[in-house]
Amino acid sequence: MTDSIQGLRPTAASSSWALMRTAAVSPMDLLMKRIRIIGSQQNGPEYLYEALDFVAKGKVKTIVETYPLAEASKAYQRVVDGKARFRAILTM
Amino acid sequence: MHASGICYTDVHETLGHIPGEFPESSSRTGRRDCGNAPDVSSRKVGDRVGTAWSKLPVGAANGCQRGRRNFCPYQKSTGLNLQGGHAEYMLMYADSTFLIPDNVPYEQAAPIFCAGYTVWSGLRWAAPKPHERSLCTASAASSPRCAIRESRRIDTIAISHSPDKDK
Repeated sequence: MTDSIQGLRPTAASSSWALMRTAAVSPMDLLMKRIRIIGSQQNGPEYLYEALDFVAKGKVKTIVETYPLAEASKAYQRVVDGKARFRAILTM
Repeated sequence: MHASGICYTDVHETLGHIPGEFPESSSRTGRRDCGNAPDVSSRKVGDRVGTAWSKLPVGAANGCQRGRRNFCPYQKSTGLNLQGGHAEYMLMYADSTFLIPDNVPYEQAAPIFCAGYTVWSGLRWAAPKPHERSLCTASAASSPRCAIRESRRIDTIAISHSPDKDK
């Protein structure tokens, strides 16, 4: 995040949704470029339904690898190793 | 339960990086979960529903009273205070379930309840205008990819620390 602030153009917004404990940010960078840092989470059901609607309309196709519940440990390890393409899904 | 995704928050919970009542076993985590509804007042048996991370059953505090349930100080979350969806069955508050469009398979819907929801919320909250460019950075691979796929109308560049950066 610290580095990405450097890449922002003046008046840009940085929307942060990662579970970071701390991030070093220079107030001078924010001031000179009038940058906004926005905290964001799962901001409300309307955004969830918009995202689901993209899938329903065929505009978005999620790319997943599926594993039966019995192979949960294998799927978990793929996530730990950063190898899952691109979301590991357990199916029951 | 039909499908439940694993995200890196599950790893954090399993390793105890996030305090909670249930971090001791990965089988108890589970971020975004899709299944069929049991018999409750606001859902019919067999409704195809999903649920996201934060479950908000309290309803008494200021945030809830003002309709901003995601700021509830007592909110409960799967994997932390509630058992999650990496299991054959899970208990969920009916008003924390969301209907899945009929033509969306469970496996397609599951990532939307976590990464898709989160990333799309972030992009929408930043309110980019049509000519503006969006930059996504993440240590895990899936969120920026989700963002790209959901933001074709916004010019998006993704940066990831993951070894494999192909789209």
